[in-house]
Amino acid sequence: MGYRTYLAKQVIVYITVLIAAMSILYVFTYPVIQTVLRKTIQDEALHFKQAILKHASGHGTLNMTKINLEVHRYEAQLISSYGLNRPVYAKYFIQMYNLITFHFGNAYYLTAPSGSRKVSAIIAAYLPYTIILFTTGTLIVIFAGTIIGLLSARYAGTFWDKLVPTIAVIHSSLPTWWLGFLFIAALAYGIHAFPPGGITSVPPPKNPLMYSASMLYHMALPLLAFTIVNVGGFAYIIRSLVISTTKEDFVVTAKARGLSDSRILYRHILKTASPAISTQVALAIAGSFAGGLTTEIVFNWHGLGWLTYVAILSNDLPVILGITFVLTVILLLALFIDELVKGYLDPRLKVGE
Amino acid sequence: MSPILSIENLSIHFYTPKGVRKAVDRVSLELNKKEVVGVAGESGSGKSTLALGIMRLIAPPGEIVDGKIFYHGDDILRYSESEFNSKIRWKKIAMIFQGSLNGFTPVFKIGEQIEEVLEVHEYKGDFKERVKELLKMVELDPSVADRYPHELSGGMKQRAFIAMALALNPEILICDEPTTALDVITQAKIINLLKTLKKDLGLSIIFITHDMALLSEISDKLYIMYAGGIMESGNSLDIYKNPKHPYTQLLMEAIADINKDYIKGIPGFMPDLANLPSGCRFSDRCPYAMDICRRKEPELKKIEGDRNVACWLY
Amino acid sequence: MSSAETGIKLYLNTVLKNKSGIIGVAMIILFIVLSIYGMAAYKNVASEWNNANYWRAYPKVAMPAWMVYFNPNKIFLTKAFVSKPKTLYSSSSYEVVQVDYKFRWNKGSAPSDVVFYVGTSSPIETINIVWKKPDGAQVTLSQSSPSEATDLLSYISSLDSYISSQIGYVPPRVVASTLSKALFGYEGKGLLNGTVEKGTYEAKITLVVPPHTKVVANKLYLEGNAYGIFGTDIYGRPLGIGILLGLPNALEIGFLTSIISVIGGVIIGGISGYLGGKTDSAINWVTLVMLSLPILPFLVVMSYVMRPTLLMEALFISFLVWSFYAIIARSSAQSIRKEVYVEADKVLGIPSYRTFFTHFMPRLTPFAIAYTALGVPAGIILVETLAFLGLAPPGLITWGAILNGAEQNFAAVNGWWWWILFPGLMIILVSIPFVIIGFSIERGIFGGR
Repeated sequence: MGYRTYLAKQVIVYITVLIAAMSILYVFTYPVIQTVLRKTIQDEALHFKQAILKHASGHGTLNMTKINLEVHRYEAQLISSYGLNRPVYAKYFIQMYNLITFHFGNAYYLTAPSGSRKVSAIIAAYLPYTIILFTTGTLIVIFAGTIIGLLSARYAGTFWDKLVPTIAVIHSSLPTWWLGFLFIAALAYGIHAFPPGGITSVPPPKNPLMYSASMLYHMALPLLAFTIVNVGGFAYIIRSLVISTTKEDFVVTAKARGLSDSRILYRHILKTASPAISTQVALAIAGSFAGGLTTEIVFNWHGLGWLTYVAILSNDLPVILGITFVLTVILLLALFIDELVKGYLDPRLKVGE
Repeated sequence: MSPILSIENLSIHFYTPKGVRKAVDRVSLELNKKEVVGVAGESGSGKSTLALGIMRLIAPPGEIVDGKIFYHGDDILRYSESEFNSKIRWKKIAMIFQGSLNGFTPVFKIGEQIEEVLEVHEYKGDFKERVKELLKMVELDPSVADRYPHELSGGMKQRAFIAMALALNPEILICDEPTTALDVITQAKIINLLKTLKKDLGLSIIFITHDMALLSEISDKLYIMYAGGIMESGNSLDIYKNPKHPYTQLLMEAIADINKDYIKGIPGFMPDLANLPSGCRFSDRCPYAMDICRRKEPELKKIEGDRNVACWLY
Repeated sequence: MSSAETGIKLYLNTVLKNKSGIIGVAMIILFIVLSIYGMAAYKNVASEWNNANYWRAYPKVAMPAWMVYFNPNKIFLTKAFVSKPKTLYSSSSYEVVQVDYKFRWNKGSAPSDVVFYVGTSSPIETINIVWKKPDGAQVTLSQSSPSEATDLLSYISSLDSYISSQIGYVPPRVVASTLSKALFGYEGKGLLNGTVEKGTYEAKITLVVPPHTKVVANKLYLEGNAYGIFGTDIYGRPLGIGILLGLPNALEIGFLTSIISVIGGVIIGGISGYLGGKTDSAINWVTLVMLSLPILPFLVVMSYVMRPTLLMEALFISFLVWSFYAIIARSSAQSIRKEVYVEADKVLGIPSYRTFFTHFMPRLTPFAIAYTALGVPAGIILVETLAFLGLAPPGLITWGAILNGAEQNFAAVNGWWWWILFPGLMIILVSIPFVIIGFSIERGIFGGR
């Protein structure tokens, strides 16, 4: 019962957050959005005109005035559907609705592999690769970081434990993409141990098993860079949380009850600290986003980070805008899932303490 | 009859950057069957450390440096950690903590935690039934088993904890300020519960508190602790009627009495345990301090019956 | 003495008593001194950084100079030769001047480039170079109205035809070092295979100049493949200077973003945790909103659209990251709020804003210092990342932009490791002292060991 109320509350909170975050982006990019939409309309109108001309020439009747009138009508229709001719507040509602439903307009230059010039189609083509790389990387970091953090908390004060703050220093000062860049120079081009980039070997293997194997092989270096940079920071957080939880009253009384150290650590302390850990997971995901995305560029990994770079190089503003909106939604989704996990783990949250 | 628990010259030191803090200094204590022994003293006198020492829960930088603790004649300090854990801890000697302490792990239900104790100590019998029985014993509704610690009031939590302490039928129960931070009515109820349980289950209790008034209600024997050492010990009633040690006298005067219109405090502060005064540890606060008090430490000596006092006045 | 002072002093002491803390402070001082030195010593260089002509006479993609010690046969520094110009012919309409260079070449590989430098009082009309190899083979290079310094790429048409006359085709992606191989290799199919003719070379330069033109200075540079402590990039820009000039920019943006965002975050989070109730929920919601904005993509959009200055960029970053500090400050404030003296103030009727400043801010100060220290590298990394994407504030020399150059010019493929290694190493190096200090204060506060 409690969890359902909590869930409902979180859903409402996150919907408001989504709308607010989108609105902030919208306000900051308002003039740009207008330009993009105007260009999109011109683009569509041109296509429309060409289509009519083609159709008309096939039938041998070319009445330019009529055609122009038709095109104008179509353009006006588009303008009102994008809200360009409306007052600002109405524009806000119409365009926000478009953004939240992923209608970003057309790209200036880039196209999706399918040939579509819709920004949403282009993003949809590259998004899965970002998700694959990121999810895998984050899971590895959480898994390895938790284990390292727990061990170093358990053996606090020993050599292994002292190593963790050092790794944490690495975490806070090392750009992921640069490490990746270095890896490519040294491990891919230097000793040819790894592929220098791309998603699979070229041409991609037909056999799905071979395809996944090739993909994993190509993922190894970016994942290695991502893990090295992020695992230390995460382990450090786990360690601090565990150590501070160790100082709580219930640990002494649990020991008095005759529970073993490992039982106290893995059952009592870990479960008690887990909501805080999951908050840190959320922060870690948000924090590693930037580095992870940029890493795609050096590895020529065709995800959204790489697409951003290409869009910058080719001055394709609508694509850059669209990616930003999509990434906001994804980040929010990750935070929301994290919130649900946290609610599940912490009985105190459910009663709204 | 030999005592079931007897502590001899127990010393517990904490190695801090400021020096060695002698939290418990050569303390001896005896607990007989079905007896309630009170340990009284101001906060910081080392009485909680003594309790944790009996449970062998002193964590670094603290260490039991000297002394023996006999349980039925066996020195339990010589047991290995695992042996102590499986034979003595919670099974024979259980402990309840300060009411303000979060003794329960916040993320598990009360029932789960009591069952965990039963499971870890290989209790034979039905866990669920035992939990129900225990909760009934401490006058709690069986539904409490399905609740989380934060859903209970302070008094209920303490009752639940007592239930957990009794789970394995221990012989000895150490109560470390069990009613501190609880309101007066709840306090009285918990004390009454402990009294009943003692009678029904034949428990022997070490009751640690700074509250002399409370001790007068429950204890048979009394140990007065100050700055890590025992100042006076003996039959409760005798000490109440006729405190010998100047510190005990001052402590008695500090009790709020409805007939007095003022409460007298003890002047000065507890000395730094890392830097005790030479001679008697109470000398710098003692109204009767003599020359010898500052030079030589008085031994705890028998003055009459079972009364022992560590003071140069006697 | 107020408790705020003792707080700051206490944590300053923790930092200074700690060995790594002292190292950290010393490193920061060193960085600041280096920044000031760089700005003063290379003031003019900074404005010429993006002017390719300025770097003509420098060896392109040269290794660090100290690499010479590892392989003196193949790795060498630039050599320069001077010779006296002779006037061969003079009339009222033009003059012909000749400069003749003779030099020995004994290295195992060709120079990375050859630069002919002739400084004249009026513009040169044509330049004609006859290049004679030790075995007598000749190559002729010519160009009309050349600039003062001409490298091999400016004779690419002459050299391309020479190469194709020898090996039968022009290889794709011809760079300066390819052309240099042509001038130093044996004629025939193996012209470009890297073998070098050893012996005495001659370069006869003939200039046609307007009458009464004086040759002010002239030099022949055989560009080395090693230069400076960190080598050079593809335009010949010494990376050592680039790295030095990137330092003040990195520090400035790091300090700015960190101070603005931490102060903002700590005050907002502190107020939120202190007041509790509805205000807290409201602020917390705003924090959540800000936290869910993906920093980098958002910065990309803003940088792309507005091309902000360094200060604006710092404000943008602060706007996006304060929420991280607010969350942490809020939870600290919540725990302080539960403490007795805050309750006591409430009972005594002391107004809450006073309690906020007397009890809260002092307690949050060391926390703020720790995060300010940790925020500096965070800001630096963000800006360098942006610069790597090609979105650095315009006109600013940044390590990220240098690395962007490395990425766009395939430094990894070509094995130009110094171009990748050193700028990135600087990002780490500059971050380390701040991280050390931040962590040591943080550990002091939260009591971790």
